[in-house]
Amino acid sequence: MRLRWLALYPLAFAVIFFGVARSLGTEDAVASFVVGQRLLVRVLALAGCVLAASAFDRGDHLRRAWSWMAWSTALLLLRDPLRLALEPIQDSTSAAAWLLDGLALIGNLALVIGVWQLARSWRMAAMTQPGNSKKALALTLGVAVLALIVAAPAAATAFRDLLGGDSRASTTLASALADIVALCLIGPLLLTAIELRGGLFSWPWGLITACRVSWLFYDAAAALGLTLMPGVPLYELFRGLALNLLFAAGVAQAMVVRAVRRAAA
Amino acid sequence: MAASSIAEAVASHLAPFLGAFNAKIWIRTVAEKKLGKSVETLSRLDVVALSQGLQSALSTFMGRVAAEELVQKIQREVR
Repeated sequence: MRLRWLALYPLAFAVIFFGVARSLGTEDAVASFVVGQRLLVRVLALAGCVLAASAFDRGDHLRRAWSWMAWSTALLLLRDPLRLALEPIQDSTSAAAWLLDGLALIGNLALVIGVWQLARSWRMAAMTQPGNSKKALALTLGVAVLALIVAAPAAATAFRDLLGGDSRASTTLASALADIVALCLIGPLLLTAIELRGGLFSWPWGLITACRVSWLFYDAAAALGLTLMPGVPLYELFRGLALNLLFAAGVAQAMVVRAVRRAAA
Repeated sequence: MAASSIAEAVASHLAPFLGAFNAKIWIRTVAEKKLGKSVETLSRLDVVALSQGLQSALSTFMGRVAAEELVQKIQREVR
């Protein structure tokens, strides 16, 4: 029952986000609200990842996976306030700009490692092939193609900029490529969640899959330049949803491992 | 305890966490690949080996300590 409420929380947050943003009178107030909630959801996501990692012991596979997710979230969390603080002194060639791009790059690389660790869990358990092999392959390829369609434009733009002499585009390009790889791993995560259906472990896996799907929507919204309302890009809604789903996944992971230990006592 | 009951009894400990279908598949896989037996021919004497065979896969999803504790519970209660 608590896991169901946990799963509903990210949707409830998204509705509240929209309602509050609509009710604010000025664009400045909306902008401040968006920045504040962006930091809040990243802090929550970090807390969820740390909670999940702490549910396991040193050497456990999923402790490593959740730790990488925590590092990724922490680095990207650090970047947000730094960007605000450094904005006055930032230009395209400054050390501040390189620092911010570097944090994004390392954060995205840590994300790829974390998501890849999660995605390979079923194979590591080595019990059965997840899903019917042909269907599993079709699903994985289908999601990968979708991820490429959505996320490739950003990578292509960064590549063009790099060729045009913008050296900072190298970190943008690397981040975009890392993003594509992480999105392509939605297929294995989804298959694991489906395989675990009916059991408590399907909850964290379902939520982490939903998190990655939300990032897919984020990239699509960003690529299309869609707005939720004046001053609020639609991708902000999906960013909040994705990070809240990551928080919920981490909490669910910790709850389920504790449930096993209580049952086994 | 009848052979099919052994498998069902072990599965009842796993199903809340892995799902009923998965629990049966995992037990069948361990019985056939690690014990060289079909689920129908399992006996009480196989419970320890069966549960230990499941432990590695369980560790992947629930961690080593929780998997050990669950395996010990299965060995205590399935006889």
